[in-house]
Amino acid sequence: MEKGIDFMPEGVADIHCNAYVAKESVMGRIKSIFRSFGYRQISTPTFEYYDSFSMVEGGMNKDEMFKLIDPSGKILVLRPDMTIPIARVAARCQKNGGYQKYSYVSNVFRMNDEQNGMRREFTQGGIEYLGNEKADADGEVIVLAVKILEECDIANFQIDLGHAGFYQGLMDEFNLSKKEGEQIRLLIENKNFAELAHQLKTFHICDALREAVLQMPYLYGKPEKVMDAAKTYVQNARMEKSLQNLERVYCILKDYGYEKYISIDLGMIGHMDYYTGVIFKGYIMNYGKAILRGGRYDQLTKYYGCSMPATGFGINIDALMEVLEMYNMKKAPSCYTDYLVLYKDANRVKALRLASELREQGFIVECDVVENDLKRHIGNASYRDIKEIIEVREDALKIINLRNNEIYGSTVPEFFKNLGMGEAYISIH
Amino acid sequence: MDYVTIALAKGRLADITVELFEKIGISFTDYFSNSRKLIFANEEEGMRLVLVKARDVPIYVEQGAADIGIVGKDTLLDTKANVYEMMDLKFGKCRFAVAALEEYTGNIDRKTRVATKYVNVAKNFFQKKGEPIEIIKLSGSVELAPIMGLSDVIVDIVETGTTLKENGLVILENICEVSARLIANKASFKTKADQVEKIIKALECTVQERKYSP
Repeated sequence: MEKGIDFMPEGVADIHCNAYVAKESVMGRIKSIFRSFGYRQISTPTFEYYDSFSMVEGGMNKDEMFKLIDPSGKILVLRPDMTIPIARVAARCQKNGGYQKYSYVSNVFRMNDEQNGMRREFTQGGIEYLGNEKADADGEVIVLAVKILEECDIANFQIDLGHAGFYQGLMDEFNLSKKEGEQIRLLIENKNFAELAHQLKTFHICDALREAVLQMPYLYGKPEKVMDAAKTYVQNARMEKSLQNLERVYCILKDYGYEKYISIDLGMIGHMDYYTGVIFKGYIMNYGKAILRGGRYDQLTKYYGCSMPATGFGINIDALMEVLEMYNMKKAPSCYTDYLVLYKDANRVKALRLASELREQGFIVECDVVENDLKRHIGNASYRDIKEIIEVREDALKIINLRNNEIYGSTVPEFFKNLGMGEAYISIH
Repeated sequence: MDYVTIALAKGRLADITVELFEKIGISFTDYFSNSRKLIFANEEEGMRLVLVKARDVPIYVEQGAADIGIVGKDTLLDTKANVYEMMDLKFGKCRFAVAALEEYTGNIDRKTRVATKYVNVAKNFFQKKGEPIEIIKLSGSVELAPIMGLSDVIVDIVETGTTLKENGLVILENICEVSARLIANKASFKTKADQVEKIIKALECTVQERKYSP
């Protein structure tokens, strides 16, 4: 085969065995947290119609979606996000006015998401809580985000809360074109104080309103302090209500005992326009990007024919793995094999039976035909991290322990007897 | 304590910035103008200074390899990094402009060819005007392009205009003013809030003072 051929497209990666074990263990822990709060896991198709994503106003950036064309000429996309598909599922399943709680751990695909470096496929885990409009539902969703980071032993992290309604309420006071609104949003979102002031000069608005917009990017930091300061800039009932709602969610988080992780930034407007209530992002010390994001989106399911309140979040599991690697905290053991059973044709039956008995006892066992030179087996065994080689002979077993390089002979019953003792020995200590 | 890392563009901007930091009581004693060293530390304050190419400053900050950066608005406009753009430091002032040979009168029968180092700035500007263009991306000596017949006009940074004049070019249009900006990583701004904010506040005061005493 010719060398230098590009076998892999940009933005995707293989995950090798040891890294996969670590990732799977993290995913397992995340799933069990979701499960313990009653979120039930579902999966949705890898690709769907482009329209079901593009019709959502303020949803995914259309340039970020991977598009395919099916034989009838319809445009499909690789799912760029799980919230929209789950909103679709929930709208279809809504029957008795109750709530629905879903979780997922799935790969999502985005063309050029700055927040993910150049990664175009990554694993996202998350939950969606639909049909519950209470602040306690927002609180619970944020609590699960905190639980995941705590479960991964990450000590130094922060959950930044904002409220989409606060900014939207402020914008109700303006009569801006879509483009102008987008400009203001970006300036506030990027804390571009200087340019925001400059831009506002071109609008004819009263001083109180101007001051309120100018202060938006400054409304961040300790929750009590920020919420107090924000009261001064409330212009209408929507802003008032939003602030009260935020305060309530914060109080609920305090009741969970999580206030130490919480900060507030009312200048955070949200990466998706479909958010309507409390929004949040999670940051970890020394990691440059938000690791999780979420919020309330009460208007989304109406696109699928059934209006219901909803909140949820997603965590980038690949980013989480990067963090754990950065802090040297990947807990999972690397891949290994307990026994390699070697045999000649004549002893195959005996060897295969031995292997199968060992597997029944829970060991990982590999088999192979023995070669004249054991060196090759030993070389390969240490590469694969095999603990012991058992060569099955006519009359006995030859056992090579690759951990301490001991070689000894044994019969099959003797071997199993020692195995039992070994286990007993381990369990005593 | 965790370090706060500041990314600076090598050269004049770095000199001014180090001076500025000295004023707010943070000195990097081993820094001097032509040093080959790329990383300087101030252990007492828990700060690190790294010198990178101007264009890489927004990348370092966006990715979180540095917490804060100081970089020209020109570079920010062209790289479109996702960072907090927190302060206009009011130095390193210059502007973006479109320039051409004195005798250039424009053309209507084909797309205007624009030579530039700043592809996005040029694209955005002409797109807003509704003028179709063809970009020729160069890495330096952009003034040469119209003279050699490589392009019709150029889009470049103009400070005094001397380079343009010496090469027989005149400014057709100004695009926008640029100056040095303080940028911050969005995550660091939250996780290292106290340290980062302290630096920003101090710089803010110094910049205000500079304005009144030139």
